[in-house]
Amino acid sequence: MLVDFGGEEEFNAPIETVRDFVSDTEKVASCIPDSGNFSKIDTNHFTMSIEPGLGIVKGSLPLHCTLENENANAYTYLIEGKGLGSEVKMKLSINLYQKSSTTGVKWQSSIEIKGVMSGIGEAMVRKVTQEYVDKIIINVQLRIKGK
Amino acid sequence: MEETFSRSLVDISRLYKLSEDELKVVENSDRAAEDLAVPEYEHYLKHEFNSEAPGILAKYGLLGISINKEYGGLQMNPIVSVLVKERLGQLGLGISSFINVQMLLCAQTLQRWGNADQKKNYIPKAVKAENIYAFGLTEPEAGSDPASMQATYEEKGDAYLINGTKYLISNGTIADYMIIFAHKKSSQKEITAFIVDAKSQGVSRTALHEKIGLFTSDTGMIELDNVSVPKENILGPVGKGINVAYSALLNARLGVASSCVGVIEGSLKATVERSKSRVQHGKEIGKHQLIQQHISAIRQNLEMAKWPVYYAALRKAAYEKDYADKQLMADTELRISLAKRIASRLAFESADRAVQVHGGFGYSLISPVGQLFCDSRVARIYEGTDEIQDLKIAESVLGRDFAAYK
Repeated sequence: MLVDFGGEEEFNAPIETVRDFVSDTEKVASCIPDSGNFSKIDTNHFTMSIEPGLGIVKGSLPLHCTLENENANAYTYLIEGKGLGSEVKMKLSINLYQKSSTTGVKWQSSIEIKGVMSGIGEAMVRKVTQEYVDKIIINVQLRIKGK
Repeated sequence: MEETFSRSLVDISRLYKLSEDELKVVENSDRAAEDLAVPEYEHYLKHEFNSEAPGILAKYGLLGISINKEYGGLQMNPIVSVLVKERLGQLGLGISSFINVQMLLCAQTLQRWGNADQKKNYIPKAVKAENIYAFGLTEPEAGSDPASMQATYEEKGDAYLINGTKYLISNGTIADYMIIFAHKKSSQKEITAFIVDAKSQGVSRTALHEKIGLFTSDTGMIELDNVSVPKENILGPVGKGINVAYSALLNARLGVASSCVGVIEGSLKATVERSKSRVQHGKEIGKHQLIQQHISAIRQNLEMAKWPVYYAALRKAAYEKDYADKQLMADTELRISLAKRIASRLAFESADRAVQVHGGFGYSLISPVGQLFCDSRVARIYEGTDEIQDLKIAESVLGRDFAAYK
């Protein structure tokens, strides 16, 4: 199952601040809800676990994450996880651009799901994932505002 | 492509032109279905009533589709109700059962048979889901033959005393008010409908969890032990309660049929998705011809089920404009029996095929098609069994002289 998402957000902060944030894996990881066990391997690699909550797909799903920094305004997170009878591969592309006094963020993610989770059906997975992504965006907004 | 297995507004437009307001309601059912999908799935796995459903349905106005505007409803053609229930049926029959009871069996029955005070007091709260309602007709010894019910009433001063047991009642343990049918203690034929406050002394209720599906619908047994009901709570004419019951069942029967079309769509959607993503023997299973046979069969089932349901809804719309037209009533009853008989059988068969395509995963409640399979079985039983529909259909062909029951 392939689930694609995309969106555009505006952050009330200069582009340098947003750039510092999205390139800091620890800060990004801290915005992911129901997550833990963050462990930094190096600047661009880390592991963590999340706890998805849909049906019997509940429990800890370990993730291995890689940050690819294409240029100062383009970042890609590659996230892979295996567990709970499921396999997840996610590619999240983030592009920053300067607005007058704020920063625009265009993002696109593609999630490939295999195993038990995929059998639950795309509509439901999409709904749950969308809610999860919304929470991450809110958390990032709050963290950038310094809250 | 999507058109072929989603609820198709193109198809219905060939029979009926939806107004802008009607289209908005149909769109709201899409939003409600999106909001309800995850909680419905989660509650299903926990085998518990989906307590979020009444609020979400009320928020989108879906508990008032067939209710007049003066009582807070939307006053729409039955075809709109059918389209809404078709969409929600894709999630299984739990939500559908709640709407059936709350709106079609209770609020709409109050609207047709209630007096001015009853309508004012009970219907708006049903539409807003401020009160939950149940319909107490079935008994342990009276299912397809409700006239043989054993619950009784007797006059005592300004009230009636009701005694008896109602069984397998949807919303039974969560209802604030119940429409209860009982016969006069001295006359089996004189059945009357009563609006009973669930908090009344002498009412006791037991949840029935041991079902083979429909887990998000509350099912209960209601025991009435000398329950005193004020005379103003009689619903419809005294002694003619069986007419009240049958009119309510006609509403709900069409409701079941429309949800069954949704079950077929849900089965087809899931099966198509699975067929395109599941790889076995080196290719997507959808490329195996025997899987294609299942897909073709479910698609055919959808075609065979939806048109009789749509047509029955249009006949019902005509009948609701003229309840006195006996010929129209007979034709509407027949059309609804045909629709339910066809759609419920095809829903069960479609869910069965969907389970087959999903393999071992399908034979599990984690799988939405497993849920559809378990839920759809009841559609061949409740609001009139397959056999009752067959008798009605056969009678319409053979003539009244051949009626199996009179």
